[in-house]
Order: sequence, then C-alpha cells, then structure tokens
Amino acid sequence: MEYIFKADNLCKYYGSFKALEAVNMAVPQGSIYGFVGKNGAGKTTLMRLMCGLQFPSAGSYELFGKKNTDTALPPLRKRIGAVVEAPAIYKDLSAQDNLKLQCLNLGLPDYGDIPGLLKLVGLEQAGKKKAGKFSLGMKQRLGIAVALCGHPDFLVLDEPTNGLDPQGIVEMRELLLKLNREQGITLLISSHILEELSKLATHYGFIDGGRILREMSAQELERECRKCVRMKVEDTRILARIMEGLGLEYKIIDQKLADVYGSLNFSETAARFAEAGCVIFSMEEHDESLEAFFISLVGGDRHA
Amino acid sequence: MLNLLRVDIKRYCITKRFWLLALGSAALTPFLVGLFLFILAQATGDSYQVSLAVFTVYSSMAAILLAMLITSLLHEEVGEGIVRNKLISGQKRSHIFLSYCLLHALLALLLQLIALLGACILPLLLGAVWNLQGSELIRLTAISALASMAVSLFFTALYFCFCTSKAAFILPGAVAIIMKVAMTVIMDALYTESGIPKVSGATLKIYKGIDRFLPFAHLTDLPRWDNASYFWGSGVLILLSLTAGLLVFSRKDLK
Repeated sequence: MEYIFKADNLCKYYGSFKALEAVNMAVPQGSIYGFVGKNGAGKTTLMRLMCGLQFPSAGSYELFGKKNTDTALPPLRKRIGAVVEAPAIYKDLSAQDNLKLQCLNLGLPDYGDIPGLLKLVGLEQAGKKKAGKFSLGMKQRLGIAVALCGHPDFLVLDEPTNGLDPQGIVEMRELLLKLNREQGITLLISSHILEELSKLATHYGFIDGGRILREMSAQELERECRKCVRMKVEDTRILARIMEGLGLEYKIIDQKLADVYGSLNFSETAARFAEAGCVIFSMEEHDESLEAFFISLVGGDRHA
Repeated sequence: MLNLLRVDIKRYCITKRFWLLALGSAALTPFLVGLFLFILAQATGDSYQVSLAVFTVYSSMAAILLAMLITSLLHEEVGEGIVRNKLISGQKRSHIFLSYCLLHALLALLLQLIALLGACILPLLLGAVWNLQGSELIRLTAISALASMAVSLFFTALYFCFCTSKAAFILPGAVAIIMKVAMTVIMDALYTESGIPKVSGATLKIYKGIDRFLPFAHLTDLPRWDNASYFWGSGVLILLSLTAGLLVFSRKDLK
C-alpha cells in the first residue's frame, strides 16, 4: 500500500508540554482518513506539522515519499490543499478574487478552473459579495475552494463541517466523497461529529494526549463496534448474575439497562430470568457507535 | 518569489482600505502644512515661501506612519491565515518574508513620492513662492526614500520575528514612537541656536554617530552629512533586518 503521509515517532513539544509524543501514523493514498480526538489531543498540531507550519521537536515524517528534512519537499506541498483551523481567505475580496489570488499564488497559468470550483462548493451565486460578509458555512466552502485550487492530491481539513447547517453538512459530505471518488483526492479530516465522520472515512486514526491510540480501517472499526443486545430489565444485578452464569460479556448502563455481547439464546435467557424472578421489559439489537468506541478507547471522558 | 510579490501587490491594489490608509498617510501631512502656510499667508497678507523644510514634514512622520500601516496590513495577513496559506501552498518561508520586505519597501517609496508630489503641488496651488534648488530637493528625496525603505524593512522584520505573539502588533509602533522622541532629543542636543552642542565627550560621539548613520535620524531633519553616510546607515539596517528576519522566521512555528 502506498502512503501519502507517514509519521515516524513524531514529537512536538511546546516548552514542557508534549503536544505530540512518538506519533506513528500512515495515511494511505486514495483514502479518507478520519482523524479523531478530543480538544487538545494533538490533531491540529499534527496537521500543522504536516503542512509545514511547524517543525517537529523529534522524529520525522514523510510526505509524498519525501522526508520532512528533504529540500525537495517544499515544492511538493503545492500538491496539498488544507484548511487548518480557520479558512484562509481575504475578507475584503469576493470569492472569485480570493480564488484568483490563490491561482496566482500557486503560479497557475490561468483562472479557467475558478467557475468550476465555485460551482463545486456551491458559491457560484456569491457574485461580488465580500468574503467577510459570508456566513460561517460559506467561508468554510470558500476555504475548501481555495484549498482545491491547483488540483491537489491531498486535502487536509480541520473540522470541515464547523458552522454548517444540517443541509450544509450533507452537501459537504457529498462534496468530499465526490472529490475522493471522482478525482482520487486523499483526504485527512478531523471532526468532532464522529457519526458524520463514520459516513465518510475509509480509515481512522484515534489520538489522545498527543499519542495515536489506534489506527484502523473502516472495516476493522465495523468489526470492533460490535453488535450487542440492549436489555431493559427489572434489576441489572440479577442480569449480571445470569450473564456470568451463561459466560457472556455484558456492560451495565444503569439499574435497569445493560448491553450484552455475544450470541444470546433468547429462549434460554428468558427462562433464566423467569427462574430468577426478574422481569425483562425489552431486548433489542444495538450497534456500538463510533462515539462509544472512541470513548471506550480513551477511557471515559465524553468530550470527543 | 516574484510570483508572491505579484500576488501581494495585486491584493493591496484591489483593497480599498489599503489605498485609503496609504494615500491618507502620505497626503495628510503635506496637506496640513500647506493649509497652515496658506492660513499664515492670508493672515499676514504676504505670499509665503516654500523652503526645503516643507518636504521634511512627511519624512518626520514617516516612521510612525509606516509602522502603523505595515503592522495593520501584516496583522491582517497573519490573522486571516494568508501567510499560513502561502506556506501550505508550497512557498518557501524565505520567499514569503522577502516578498513582504520588498512590498513594504516599495510601499515606503510610493508614499514618499506621493508626499513629495503633494508637497510640490499644494503650495503652488496656494500661490507660494519657491525658494529652493532642484538638486537639494532630489538629494533630500533620495535620502528620505532610502531611509524610509530601510525603516519599513526593519518594521517588517520586527513583525515577522514576533508574528505569533501579540507583541508583533505593538512593537513596531512603540519602536517608531520611542525613536521619534529619541531623535528629537538628540537633534535638540546636537543642533542648538548657539551652535554649541548641549552634550560632550562620548555622548556627543554617540549622538553624532546616530545622527549620521541611523535611518530614523535621517527621517527627522534635513541632511547634514555626506551621501555615503546615509547610504551605509540605511544599507546596514536593511542587511540586519533581512538577516534577523530570515533567521527567525525560517525557524518559527506558525499557528
């Protein structure tokens, strides 16, 4: 498998604070890499290093097969488009003028792609309106259009759905999928809306406290986010006793609610509960969400 | 780098706010002087004479105006992620920095020329009598332009050295004001009505050195030294600013 980006024991320290600690990760070519982590986990720091805004304190990375110390790397960065933190736009210029300047910046021979880009991100009607007067969502789209100038091979997006309304989120998802599938652009996306990310990503990287906790493909994650049976019973203490007797894994949610993993024989289970004098109110199949998986990975704090 | 310079020039040229700030800065001072002289002439009933001093009005304010203008423009560029975007787009840090330096040097030159033009035309429109030689005017303009270009490079470098902290927004202006006060004190001490300096010994030597070689001093008063002194003074400040700016900015972590 070819990788667009590979980090090798990458570290970034700000004084005594370790923003990244021995990060090893790889973004496969053609993938949509979902980068998941809490606030302050190190996602944006890694993106800044990737984009050449900051320098590693230790370790190294490879971008398009070139090491970060290689003098041939800076020109290759033209193959990256990125929106890190806030979209980089001239607020006193129109969307079209912003794209013209980006084309000039990249040394592109003409402005032929601009109408297509504006249409792609849904800003063809923006006209001469100054970018400073755009809504948050429009600014985000313009930032992506700027990042798409010059047909990049790798698009790095930090929270691309920030500030978008529900329809905007769906449109953004469709746009990103289109870019990946039709133009073969590799995407690295960090997002707090994990369920939204799960509709896009082909690969995941989970980061916490500056360390990569886990990297996996979407298929692997699907296997890990295993199905369970959510049971509502009279008393989960009795449920725990029965499940231990059956040798099944379970997770108590509250006094009446629990998740049971593994193959469950409903008749036998019902018989055991009747024998123990415990009422079953409901039993239904339940998928563990990406959010729940992430929380179990980082261990607790529900602030992804 | 020339590509970047094209982008920056184009960006500044299509920004109304830039023209308002730039033209306002350059045109305001000669206008105020012209107005003052006009009122004076009306009051005394005489036509007034335009001396070389009229042309130093802008120069004496140039450092502060340039510091404010450059800081305001760069603060927007850094704050809105334009510099970040240039880096992401594969531009070298040295090219980004040098492009801004060149741009601001050109800006300083442009403002100097606008101010000169304003100072030439306005008194004539007000019916003034010229009392100066063309060669003097050319020399003064060249020295002031070189000094203001050196000063603008210094402010650009200063901003880039601190561009990730709030100090970047305050430092150039603060330095310009401190320099203005210091230069006024030094000039007062060196050039008294009696012709005898108020200071002596090492202080006198230091003051003279500053007056002779520091571009901030070149912008404060009429030229009194040889051309080479002005050239070397501005040249050294340009070189130091470029070296320090390149060294710091090429190693700086940006947000």
